[in-house]
Amino acid sequence: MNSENQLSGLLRLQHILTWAVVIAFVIAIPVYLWNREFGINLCYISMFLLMSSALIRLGWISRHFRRTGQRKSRLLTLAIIALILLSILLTLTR
Amino acid sequence: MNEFLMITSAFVSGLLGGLLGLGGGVLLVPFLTLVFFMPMQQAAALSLATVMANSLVSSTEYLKSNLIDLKLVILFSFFASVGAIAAGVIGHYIPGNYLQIAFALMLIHATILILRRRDESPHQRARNLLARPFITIGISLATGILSTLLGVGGGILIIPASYLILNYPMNIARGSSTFAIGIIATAGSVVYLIHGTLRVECAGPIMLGTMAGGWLGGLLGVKTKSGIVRPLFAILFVYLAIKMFLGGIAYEF
Repeated sequence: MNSENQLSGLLRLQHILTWAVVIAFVIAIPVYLWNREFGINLCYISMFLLMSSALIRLGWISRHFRRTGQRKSRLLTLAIIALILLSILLTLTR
Repeated sequence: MNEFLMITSAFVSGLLGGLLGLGGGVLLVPFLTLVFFMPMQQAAALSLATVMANSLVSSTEYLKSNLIDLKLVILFSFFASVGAIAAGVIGHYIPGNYLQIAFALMLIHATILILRRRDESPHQRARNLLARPFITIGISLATGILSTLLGVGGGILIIPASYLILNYPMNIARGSSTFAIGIIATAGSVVYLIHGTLRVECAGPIMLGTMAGGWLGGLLGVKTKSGIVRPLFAILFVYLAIKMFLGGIAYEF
């Protein structure tokens, strides 16, 4: 299997995530203009979706490294996911 | 702030950034601070959110062309995320005028890069990952810190580092940088979001405006002669750098 085929899953995932984020923001903006209180919650959900997209892609990359037997790179990927999650946890608990 | 004005300014900064292939952040932060008088930290946080969105959209094209090296992405993203999270925490304690002065210096650096940029032939050099580990780690950390504090993608550091230090071909350096900055920006943005610095109600219009402008700028950039565009942008960047620098000093005294 060449590397282009290996990354086609990531490409599909990116397409889905991009459309999900764009649709979420396109809905959130008019709702915010119509009803600020409700709209702001939608804006937060859209932002959460955008931020999650990076974690989802990292999850895919970690699985890709596991499949291809690249242990060090996989550990580094998992460390990035852990760092982001830890920073969320630490900031929330301050 | 008027949503229509926000979308328009984000569209213009995305368009101009797309023409140069620099992303919208380099021009969005001066727009928000100089035109809308937004505090530097808030402008940086908003710009960083647009970097996340732009990276998601534009790295897809690089993935299609198989121009992303995931090992390079992960190597840069790991150390840069450490820097980004640290910067997200300390960013609140750094006075806005210092950040404005730092941004002015970064604009001067970007100007030099624009004027010196050459069109490289693809696959011209051999790959050499981890050739100079300490320099790579240092640049990654600096990228994370600068991108979070100033709200720029960090491509102006990652691309030259990948190309000149790690000997990656220019097109793979660009593709990998585009992907990596999305992850780095996420690491910085989560801290800004939880701290309340990131105004999510402004993020939507700005992101959509920048994405649309960046898309059009990218299309126009292919057709426009870079020899004409670059000096004009260099003048604009120097002007903005002077404005930001003077704004930073005026705030101080």
